[in-house]
Amino acid sequence: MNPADIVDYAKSLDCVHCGLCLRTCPTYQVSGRESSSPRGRIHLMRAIAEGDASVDIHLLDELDYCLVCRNCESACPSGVEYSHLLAHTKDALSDHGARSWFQRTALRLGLRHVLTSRLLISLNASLLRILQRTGVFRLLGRHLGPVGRSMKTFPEVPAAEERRELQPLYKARGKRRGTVAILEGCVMPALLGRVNRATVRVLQEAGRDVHVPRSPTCCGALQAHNGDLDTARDLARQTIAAHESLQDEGRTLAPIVVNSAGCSAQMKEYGQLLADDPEWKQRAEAFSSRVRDFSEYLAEEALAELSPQLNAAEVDLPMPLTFDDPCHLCHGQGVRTQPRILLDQLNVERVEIDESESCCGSAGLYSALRPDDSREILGPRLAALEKSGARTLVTANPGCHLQWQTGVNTAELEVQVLHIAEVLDRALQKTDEA
Amino acid sequence: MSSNSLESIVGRENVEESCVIPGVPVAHPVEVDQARELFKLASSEGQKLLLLGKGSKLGWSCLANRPDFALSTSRLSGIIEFEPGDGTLTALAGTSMEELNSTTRGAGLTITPDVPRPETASLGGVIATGASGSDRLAMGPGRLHVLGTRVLQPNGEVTRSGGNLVKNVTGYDLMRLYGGSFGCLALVTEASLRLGTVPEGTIVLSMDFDELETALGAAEDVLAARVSPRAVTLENQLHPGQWSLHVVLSGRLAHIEFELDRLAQLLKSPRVSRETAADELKCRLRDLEPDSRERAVLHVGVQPSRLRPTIAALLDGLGPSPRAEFLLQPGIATVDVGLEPGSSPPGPDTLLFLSRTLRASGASTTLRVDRPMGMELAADPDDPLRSSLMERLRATYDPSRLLCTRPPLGGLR
Amino acid sequence: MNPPIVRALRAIVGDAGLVVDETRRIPYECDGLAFERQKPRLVLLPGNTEEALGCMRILHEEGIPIVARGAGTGLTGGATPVEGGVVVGTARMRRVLEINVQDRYARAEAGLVNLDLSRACADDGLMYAPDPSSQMACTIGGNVANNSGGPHCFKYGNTSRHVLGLKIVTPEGELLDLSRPETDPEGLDLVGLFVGSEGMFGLATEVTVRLLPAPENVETVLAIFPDLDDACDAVSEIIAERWDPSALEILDRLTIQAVEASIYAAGYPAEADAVLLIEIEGSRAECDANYNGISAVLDRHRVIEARRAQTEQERKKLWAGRKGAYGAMGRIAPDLYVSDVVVPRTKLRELVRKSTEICSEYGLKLTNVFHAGDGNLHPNLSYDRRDSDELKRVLAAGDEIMEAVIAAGGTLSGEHGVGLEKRDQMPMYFSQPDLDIMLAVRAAWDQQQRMNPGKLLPIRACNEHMPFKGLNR
Repeated sequence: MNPADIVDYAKSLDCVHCGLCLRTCPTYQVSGRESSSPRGRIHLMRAIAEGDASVDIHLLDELDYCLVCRNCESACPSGVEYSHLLAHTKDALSDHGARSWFQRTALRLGLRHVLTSRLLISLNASLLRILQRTGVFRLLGRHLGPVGRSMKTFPEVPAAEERRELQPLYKARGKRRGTVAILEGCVMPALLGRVNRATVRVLQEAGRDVHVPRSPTCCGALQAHNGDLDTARDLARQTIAAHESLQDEGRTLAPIVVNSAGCSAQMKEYGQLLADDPEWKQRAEAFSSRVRDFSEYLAEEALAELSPQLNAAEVDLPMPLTFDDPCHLCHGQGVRTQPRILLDQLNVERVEIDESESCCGSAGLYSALRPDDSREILGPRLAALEKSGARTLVTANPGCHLQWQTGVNTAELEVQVLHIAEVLDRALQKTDEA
Repeated sequence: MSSNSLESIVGRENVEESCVIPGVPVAHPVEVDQARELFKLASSEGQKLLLLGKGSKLGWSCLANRPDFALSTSRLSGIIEFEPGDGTLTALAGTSMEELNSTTRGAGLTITPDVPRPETASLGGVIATGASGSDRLAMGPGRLHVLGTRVLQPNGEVTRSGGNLVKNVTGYDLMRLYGGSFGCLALVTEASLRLGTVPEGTIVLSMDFDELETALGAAEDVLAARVSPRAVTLENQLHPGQWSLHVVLSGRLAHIEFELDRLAQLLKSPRVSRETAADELKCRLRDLEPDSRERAVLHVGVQPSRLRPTIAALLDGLGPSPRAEFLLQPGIATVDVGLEPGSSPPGPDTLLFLSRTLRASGASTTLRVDRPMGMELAADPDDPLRSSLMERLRATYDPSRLLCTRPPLGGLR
Repeated sequence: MNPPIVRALRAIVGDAGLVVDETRRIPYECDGLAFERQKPRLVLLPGNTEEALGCMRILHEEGIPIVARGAGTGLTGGATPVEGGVVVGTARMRRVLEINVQDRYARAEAGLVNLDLSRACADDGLMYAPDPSSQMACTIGGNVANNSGGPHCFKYGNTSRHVLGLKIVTPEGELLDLSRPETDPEGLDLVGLFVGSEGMFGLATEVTVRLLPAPENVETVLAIFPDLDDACDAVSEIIAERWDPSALEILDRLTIQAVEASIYAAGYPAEADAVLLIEIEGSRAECDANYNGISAVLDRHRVIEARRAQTEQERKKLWAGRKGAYGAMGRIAPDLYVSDVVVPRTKLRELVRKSTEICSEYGLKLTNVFHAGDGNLHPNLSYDRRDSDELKRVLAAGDEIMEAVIAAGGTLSGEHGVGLEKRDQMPMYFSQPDLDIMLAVRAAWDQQQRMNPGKLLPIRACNEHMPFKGLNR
């Protein structure tokens, strides 16, 4: 392969090597290795492009070690598009022979066939639940090393009732104030169906009709982050098409409200992802401009409607509560204040945890692909959580949700982990009862 | 050493028969070239050389060898460059601190350190002894205000480090090495200083206490309050058995009035001096530091949290009701004990014992007397690595041991 | 690297403390000065002083040259590896060991990030004053090596004024413990000498620093000028009138544009030719007196507007823009040559103008962002290192600027150090005897001259490896 094709060289030149990203990088913090920092990885990419380095297993390992949390992008004065650079190179090297055949095939199967199939995800979830319920998991956990350790404390897969799919349309409660579409997601229905239902209920309470298009299972974020840009592009096209076909009184629906920060970040970037596809470029840009993260949408578009109800609610949650910023919400989308504004409507005691914008180690498939590293990165975050004294941790992304839940279980902390939609939903249900 | 050979270099009028050490003649070069000739003379004749400025702090140092003659920079004086707009000044080493003060004062600028009796102290001597002054609490140690030096090395080379700019990291900070080196490495011939600003005004608050304990308590309250005094001084000189606390506030007028208000809530009816009275009192406080030419002085420095145990250990070591005056500066945690003139200073054994006791409480102690002490007081080499590094540095500059003064403590043998 | 040596080192630092494979060593080939490159033979990342001692002892036995590295944010090649040498990094040694509120000092491992130290003592109302613009990444140990500065060093002075003690691993692998804070140094001031020695005396693994009470009020003023000259003159006059702001920073038009295009956009107006950031600290009374006095000076120099930041958030934003400025230059060209010179503060305008002229002669893009209050200029030259002619012109312009600065009574470096970048310019500022004694002092610390060899002191063919001979050289 031509070295120049491996790296988006032009974009790599934006980096002037100032190093301001170092401290923000979880893998540099853990390892102290320059090659495990954003600056170091860009340096390596440039070295590849300039012919001063060759691709080997060490390079691939450093690329895979990256969580793509994008914290560095929030620190970079030069506006280096790091995650883009990384996705480009990982994609170009996805089939590189330095990795074992088995590894490559397993990952490809997972990305292309499992994550894109609701049936396979559902089957897997059922199987997982059986293993958990029968204790086989705990037994295996004892013998499977690091993977096993995380298996033991992995949150329990909910019963089939919880995992049922959403209906195509939910009508607004009270006065109808608008229409939105949502994304049901891939992992979300299987493991966190209650979050999806809470999301729908909150939107209904805000006076929104909620459409749930039969879009492809996955938005393509996991593929894009793991070196399969082709599949990511296919999924983007399918998602766009599915949403375009949804109409409300003859007009295309405006907001697409997404309750998973990783997905909303990806969908906001469809325009960029399909920039080289003349047929899709404009459609993708139009689509991306409609995408809003759940808390972003509510805080900016529905605060007036929800605020009185939220103010009046008595929230029955262990206090204090804290919001942990999902990386792809704060770094990927610059959404920081909105979830806090929503939570502060609740008259609850809210504290901040140190480094709330630092990655929890979930990072999509990362926690499954590199469980040891994932846990090491979670370590200091758990310590910060404990130090903050928070008893409820609020997040806005399924990966983070599961990671924190696993961490809290392992460390045996008395902390409840909830998606922000669940918190708002509980408050709103309370006011309804009253 | 015959005075003749010295006279041939610096001229008859610039040679004194004897310095504070009897029988050791002093040459006062008036230019650096003469100093270099004196170095050459000592080197070629294998003689030992004592470096001094005006000699007021000569008794702070130790002697490794008996000197054959002394070299004083007192007539190597004058201001080389004064840049008020840049806030810097460069002067020859023998320039008196008073001359520096009066030169800069007119332009609204000040010299750090604000040493006692500035007419008796030279710039070079202040640097070589690592002296600080009454402005230490506000401005930090004097050595940090030296921007650059020019020195004459025993090998005859004149070398420069640092410069005359307020910010400069070019090359190693050798000027930091000369500060407090007591002339064991080279002769400072010239130095540049960073200047401060003459305050708009000064206010001094004073209070008397019967007990050291309560006086210290009050001083600690002042230091814990959110004020930034120029000095916090405790003395027992004026009224034996009674302690006076002085808090010197200086800065912009509105600011010191504000700080006065804040302190007035803390201290019970202090005497307040303003304007001329305040300036006079500030000067008296500056000169409180006992003069080691008149009386033996124990100078003790410690971290603030260890000040009380250190004072206790000091009083314990000096025996009941010592005939001494105390100058305590709680803000910078130093104690100067001026022993009654005429009373013999504690012997080496007592002193070493005291020094070790105080060291155990985290303090460092030096004895300052009227002339250089023997090396038995010089060393407490608790760390051989540190001592040997210092010795290597000394030997780097002065391999043939031309220079005979040494810093008082720290293992330079 | 010889396998038995690697084995012995691995036994000390473990797998995590060792970077052996070639790929991972590549990013260590340079620091912030990207055009000087040399791959290290090995990178060691000891986890504490003990491990560092063990490593240094083995490297001593093997006679291997050593280059210390903090975060690699230095701008003069101070951490560029040397041929056949090993890099010893402090990135895994970053604990705060002690914060002593009463005695106002902190002890920390050398790899602690500067900003983390300030954060660690903020709850106690204390601060660590030196704030290099890279403070969110650079380490305390690196600050010690370079005697680093920063905007607030105008009031507080460079690192050297704040270091009370050090734990140093000597080149022979012995522990020189100077970490106990002392009122005055006992004997020679080894700590004062070590600060700014650019890693050539030993490896500092632990640093004791003075903490200061955080000021009661802090105010930031953004003064907008129609002309860079006016901004420079205003600063000279603020100094001459002896007002006491804690920082005075100038950013010129191109810098403003780069910053405003970045995520650190601070609201600097695009129509300005220069902005002056002024920070004022102290009691209300002090702040007001200074603000009024400084405002009058600004007015005399055609200031368009002087905005007092109204909220802490706004204040921080103004500063974030300043501190992100260097990195933001990536928007102008892929590479940046950051110069660092000091001139007398009475000559700011003259030298800023001169460097602009020089750069336009060479057809180079110049941006100015500098610590005006200290006379510490940073003429930054943007270039693309793939264009070898442009790089040549950058270096030539850099030399010419330096000559003008020296002629005006200035100096080579105010805070970045000398390193590789300015090594060969040292004779412009120091005489041969000046350099000889520095070399000799270095030899007293490091007899074999294995610590960061080839940096700071120009290499003379015959004396680099010769011990100092004293009198008869």
